[in-house]
Amino acid sequence: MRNRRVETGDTMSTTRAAAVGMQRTDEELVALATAGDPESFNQLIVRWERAIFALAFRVLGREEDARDVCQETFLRAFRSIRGFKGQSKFSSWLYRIALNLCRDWIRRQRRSANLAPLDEEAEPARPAGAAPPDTAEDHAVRRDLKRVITQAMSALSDDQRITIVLKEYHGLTFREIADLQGCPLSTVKTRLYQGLGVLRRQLQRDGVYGAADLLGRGAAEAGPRPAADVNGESRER
Amino acid sequence: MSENSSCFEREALVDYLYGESDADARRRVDVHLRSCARCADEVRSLTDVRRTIGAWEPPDADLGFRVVADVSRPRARNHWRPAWALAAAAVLAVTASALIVRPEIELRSGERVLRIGWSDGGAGAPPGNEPASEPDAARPPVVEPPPGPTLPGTPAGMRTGGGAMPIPGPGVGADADPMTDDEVLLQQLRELIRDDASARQELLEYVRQVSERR
Repeated sequence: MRNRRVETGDTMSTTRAAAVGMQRTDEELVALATAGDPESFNQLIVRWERAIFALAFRVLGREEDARDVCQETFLRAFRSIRGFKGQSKFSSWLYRIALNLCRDWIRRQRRSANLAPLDEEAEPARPAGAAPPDTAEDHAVRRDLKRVITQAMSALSDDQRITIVLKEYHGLTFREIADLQGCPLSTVKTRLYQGLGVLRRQLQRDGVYGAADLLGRGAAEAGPRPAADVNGESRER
Repeated sequence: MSENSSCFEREALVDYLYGESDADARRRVDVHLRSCARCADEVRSLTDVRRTIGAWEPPDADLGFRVVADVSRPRARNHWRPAWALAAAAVLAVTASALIVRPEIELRSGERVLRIGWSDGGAGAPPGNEPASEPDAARPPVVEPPPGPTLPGTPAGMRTGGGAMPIPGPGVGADADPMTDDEVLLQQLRELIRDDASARQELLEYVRQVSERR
């Protein structure tokens, strides 16, 4: 689903470079975009596309679908940017659009019974400057772990999966998740607790419980994490 | 006692796991975990789950989306037309069709039959347009139209509904004057357009032209 109004590719490197030096907050960029400056919106895209893609990928489980949702999220945001009144963070607004699109996608898939297998072999993104995987064995372990986690995640209900993704990978607060999902705070915590229980059973069954330690990557610093910075930026950024 | 045999309420445990407890609540949990092996094991295992799923990284997709055109401009206005305009347009279409096909209405066997003026009576008509069989008593009779002028470029024998469209009659006699029926048709057209003054003039002009052609 490529829209002619949106393009991808290496030609964006100049925009990315410009964005690196740009210290404007999301709210300032939104104000400029609302006033008719599309380049400011492009900077918001650069800032948030990785997080939105990661969210969609972990909810949907397929790279190509996640790309489509990511693109559609920004198109919709751009079309309705004037309707964004700043009552919530821009990132929350984006997340809401993306999650609605994900839910629509899941509904369509279920209606058409088009249940393609989840992506389990895609190469994970490495942070810039990170060392490449050392050995083939490491690579195999990581790939197997990814496959098992993907399968375990698919055992969750949609609400549980979305809640865990928003909390574990995007660092949203319980309140932010409750607002996004339109449910009470207690429901968010229940979904988290029950979802973690489901994942524990799945991972124990597949024998990879605590396997992240074997990789020595410190992939997840379990425990309290900073929720978000001043712009609501998550660790996916 | 929660459903998972923890000594804490579920919410308190989740708050603790994710570091969203206030200081007092966190201290209470810490103290409890030092003396309760079961709760300590629960916290440890859930922490392990979190550490494990933290290894799930999204693929390194080629993104770089960029807005290259202003799609935020207001869309072109959706020109809703009032009902009278739609009705006028429909009457115009009917009238224009009448100009083209020059309908003739006559009575036969107690029914009115609309005949298309430029159809040629069936010679060379597409096979599928021919009546499937001879009319019987149960079916309304269909009068085969006489040969008429053919529009330039129109396939010879092109007709509608086998060349004639039976219209159930109001029960008038077989000798009713076709001109009387035409007048009824014109009157109906006038009634259709009476609601709008601006469209009326234009439509009446069409009606006048129809009358003159006849």
